[in-house]
Amino acid sequence: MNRAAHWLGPRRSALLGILLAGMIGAWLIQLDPAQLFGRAQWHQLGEFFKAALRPALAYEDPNPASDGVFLSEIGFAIYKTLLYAAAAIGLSLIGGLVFGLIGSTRAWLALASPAKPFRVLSMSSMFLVRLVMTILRSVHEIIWAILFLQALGNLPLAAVIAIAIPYSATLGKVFSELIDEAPRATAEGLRANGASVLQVYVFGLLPTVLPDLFAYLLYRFECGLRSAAVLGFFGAPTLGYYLSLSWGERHFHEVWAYLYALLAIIVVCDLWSGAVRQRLTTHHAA
Amino acid sequence: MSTAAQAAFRLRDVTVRFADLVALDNVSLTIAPGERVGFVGPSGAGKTTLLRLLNANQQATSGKISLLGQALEQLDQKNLRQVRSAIGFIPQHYHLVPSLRVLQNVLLGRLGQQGFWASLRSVFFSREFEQTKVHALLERVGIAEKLFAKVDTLSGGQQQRVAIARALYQAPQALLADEPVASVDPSRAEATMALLSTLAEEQQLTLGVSLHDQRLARAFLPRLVGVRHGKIFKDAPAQDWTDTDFEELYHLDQSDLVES
Repeated sequence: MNRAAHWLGPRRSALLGILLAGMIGAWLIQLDPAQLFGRAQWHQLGEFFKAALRPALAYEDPNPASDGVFLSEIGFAIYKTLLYAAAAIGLSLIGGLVFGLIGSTRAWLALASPAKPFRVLSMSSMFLVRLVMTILRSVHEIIWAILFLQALGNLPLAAVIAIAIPYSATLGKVFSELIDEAPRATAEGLRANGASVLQVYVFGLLPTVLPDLFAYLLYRFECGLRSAAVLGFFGAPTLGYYLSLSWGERHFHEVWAYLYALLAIIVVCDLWSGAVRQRLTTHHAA
Repeated sequence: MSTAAQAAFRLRDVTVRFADLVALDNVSLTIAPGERVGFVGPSGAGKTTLLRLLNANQQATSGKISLLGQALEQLDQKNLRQVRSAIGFIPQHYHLVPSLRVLQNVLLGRLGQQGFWASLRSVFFSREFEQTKVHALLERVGIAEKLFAKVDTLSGGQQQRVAIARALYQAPQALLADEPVASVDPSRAEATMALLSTLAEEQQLTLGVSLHDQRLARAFLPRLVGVRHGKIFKDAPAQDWTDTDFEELYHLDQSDLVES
């Protein structure tokens, strides 16, 4: 008994537990690998992946619905995707700064009023904002998009707000943690000069957390590009919109052209933000 | 003895308690305007707490404090900021904003005298007269060429001089420096003390400095206040401090050894 417990140990028992849970789960939802075989859809899937080698450079339909040029349409879709992502990130930066400030313990402690009612108010607003942030974050932007498209109709604003809501909450959370972990000394030094709470925040805390916040913001912009593209499936004129149209008509070569375009902007954004981040951090360390 | 209205700093029966630790125990102290005072004593004796009290950065558990002739308990938030702003505080580790330039860090000295928008304008869109003023202060502390350097590219000694310039930019009536020679190399220590004491003399500032080095304390500060176990051990002109006094001040007794 003792030896068995020794052999199991925490790591092995966790591993066994996960395996067991997987097996039970597969059995309960009736996963049957046999379903994979002998399906006509395999053929279509093969065709789709074959098309990956030859992305479309022109409309596949000999009589396209649009009289424009296919490549310029891709360019337009990229342009719109960038715009939507930028608008959403800009909006969530504002939201994130506000959320982050109210949600940070430090910002409230900086107020350090000895009056007790004030403390109770500050602590409760901090927890309220943190709760709100968690709720907003836990709902995916697609759900928000469905809600706002219902409410506002197919407006650019609906898509932008849908992305900005969970992004504000995520930025706010990261931002409040950055503030809480920032070196305390700088802010205290300014307080000793007679700085007000707002001044301590803007001059003492913001500059110390801004490089990190900006680096994170660039990463979120990358995520924003993906989100903006996906919201095209719900009608926003981004890459996803054109992709879904081509998909519906089984124009797989066009689909791949849009997918490659999305991949390209994300890779470019990644390279660019990596370079900027590197500059920010090396500068910081210098 | 000066009265409360005349004194730069006046503590009466001040006690500061952190949880179960008594940092300062019933301390009374009066410092006249223009006086230059050194606070000496072993680490943990209460020197830093004392300096923080003098800058209204630390609340007393009990006792009366008046700073620059104003009774602390009567000050509202706004007046408190004004008093803090009239006292230049140079923290041991300078507490500069690393990602900002030297110019901007010095401009931060005026925060206590400005509204929010005015300070935003001043720090991020400084006018020529402000830059000229900061440049003059940097020249005075010997790093004029660093006006536009980022603070995180400076050496420790240079950062200390930025902190001194920032305190001077407050146009203060008093300067307080917490362990200014503890984290600079010995060759710079003397220069730092000389700078602080000359600045105080030139501009008739009240100066309070906490330090360990008895030679520097005696050389640059006419009055020394010894602090030990949260109490004032000896408060006398520097020439009246004997070597035996210093030995006794820094002597570790049994209780110190047990505590540490």
